[in-house]
Amino acid sequence: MVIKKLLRNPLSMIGLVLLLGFVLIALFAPWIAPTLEEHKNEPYRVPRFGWGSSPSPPTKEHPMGLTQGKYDVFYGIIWGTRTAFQVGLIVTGLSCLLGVLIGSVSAYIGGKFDEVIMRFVDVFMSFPFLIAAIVITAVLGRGLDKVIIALVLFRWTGYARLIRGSVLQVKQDEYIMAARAGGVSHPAILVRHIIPNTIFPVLIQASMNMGSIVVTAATLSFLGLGAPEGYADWGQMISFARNWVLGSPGEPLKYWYTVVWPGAAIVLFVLSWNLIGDAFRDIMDPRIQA
Amino acid sequence: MAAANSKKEVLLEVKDLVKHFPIRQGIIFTKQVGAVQAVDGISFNVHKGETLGLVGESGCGKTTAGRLILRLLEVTSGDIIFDGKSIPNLPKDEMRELRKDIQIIFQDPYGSLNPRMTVGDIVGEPLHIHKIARGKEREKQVRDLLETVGLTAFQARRYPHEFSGGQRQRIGIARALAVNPRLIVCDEPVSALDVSIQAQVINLLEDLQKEFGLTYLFIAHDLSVVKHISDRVAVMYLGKIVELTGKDELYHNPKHPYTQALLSAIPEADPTIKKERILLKGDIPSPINPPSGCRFHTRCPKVMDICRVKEPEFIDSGNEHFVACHLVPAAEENKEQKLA
Repeated sequence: MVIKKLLRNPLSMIGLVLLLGFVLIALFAPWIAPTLEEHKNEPYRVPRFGWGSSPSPPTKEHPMGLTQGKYDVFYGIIWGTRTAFQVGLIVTGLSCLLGVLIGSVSAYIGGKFDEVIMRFVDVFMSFPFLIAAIVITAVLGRGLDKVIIALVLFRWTGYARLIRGSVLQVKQDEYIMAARAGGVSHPAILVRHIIPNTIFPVLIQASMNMGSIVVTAATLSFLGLGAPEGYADWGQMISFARNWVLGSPGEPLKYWYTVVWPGAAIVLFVLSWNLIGDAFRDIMDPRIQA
Repeated sequence: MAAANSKKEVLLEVKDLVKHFPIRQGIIFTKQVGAVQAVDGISFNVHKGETLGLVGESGCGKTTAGRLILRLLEVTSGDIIFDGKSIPNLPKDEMRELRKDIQIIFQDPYGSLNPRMTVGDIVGEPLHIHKIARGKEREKQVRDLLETVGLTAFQARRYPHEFSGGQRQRIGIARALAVNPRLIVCDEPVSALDVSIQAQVINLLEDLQKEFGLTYLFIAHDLSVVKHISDRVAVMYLGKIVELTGKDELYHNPKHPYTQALLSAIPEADPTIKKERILLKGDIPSPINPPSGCRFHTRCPKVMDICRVKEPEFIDSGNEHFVACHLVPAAEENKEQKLA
């Protein structure tokens, strides 16, 4: 039913098609952009062609050109899709899991316990997210896994609050009381009755966040806190373009390929998730449901 | 009370039941600034196989009383004794065991069924929890239950939103019946339904009572519905029971002014019958700060000075007709008992 509705809505169709495209690119990366023989064991290392620092324009061999340091843009974009999915899915999955667990248990138990947990959440939320992420990656060191840890640590609170609100509402419903009268244990009530009725806003939020997490991860990479240099990652491709965005005197668009390709990849990826999230929200909204 | 009814077996005994919901203020250092006195010392017995009607206006505490009996809420004080066991003091595992014996049917047929579970899962869940039946056997029992309440077996695969209000209430009844209970608390089971459907559900409840030997505590705000189904009726006002007696006695010889007013408000189907209506002035007072003395004195048409000061006792005025009113004298035997 959900899928049928997704297919009927033209915007969500665009989102789905874009996403499908990215999934295919990620899956078939080894065939689209074959890894060089000498790098067989580290496919995420973007190959360099030459030793100069300035970018070179697209050619037949390098359809998207070479960016600063003669890194192949095409290879970086294709394998960067995998990185984007990895970061997005792992961060969203883990923070969702953590948030739903803590938020729902806290709301279900309620009272002082809930109060303490929610103040804890407030503490996490009071940090400006980007600064907190920068501090964490600076403390833990550079690397994609550290970025993931930082993102999860400061993302679960949103899900926790979201589900807490729904659980507080749903736990007053009579079917919860009916379950208790039937002798259902508290953990079972939470899993069988409460979570299925409160999880949808969280899933919508998660699909929306998939895109923004990739942007944030790219931001961290751009700031030099993300993946190590040469790792296939869209944020890093953009950061390579930093010195070349303005082109050269008289030729403002001379190095367009250094910024347009990675930029487009990020924009389309975020767009696809947002369109799907929007469509999800419309579908799940009970007021729209027939 | 117990002595007079010794010939009938008491299934449920409620003694001085009190439930106050505290009102707290402050964020960190909370202090209790008051309490909603939802139920404030009610006592009654339910005999095996009978239907006890519990009526009163909205907010008088009848639903709270029902939920206390199922221990969906914890009591503030008082005791509830079911079949010799004190429900408020029962350890967790024994309470879970006891839940097989007491079930509840809720008022709202829309809110009381989990929208994301199939009817088969809703009705079958208690069977699974209490290890009564699993797998194929469970499916069979669910089908039987659905047919018992007048639905068809194939509807087990459907979701609650595919049913009408009356059908949903039947699903709620099937769920309550699944564990083969002895007492069912019916919490306004028909007040959310159309009048034409109300009769069907009431008749179903009566048939089930005969078939399975059930005992009902039937909570309602509608005296005509209660009249049809009950053996005895208790009238509640603002957390207290003001009158409790047999159905016929109550309807033909109401002694408490509140009961008289309620009965006079029942519309008569025959327009030629002229009936004096007693109009109660004002609203039901707040249960946070109930009136002193008799709680009904602010609205009572027959109010006396003593009513404002002294709370009337809940006494037998003869013939097991219990009333809490200064106007109603205690039965002779009762007086003697007190003197002795």
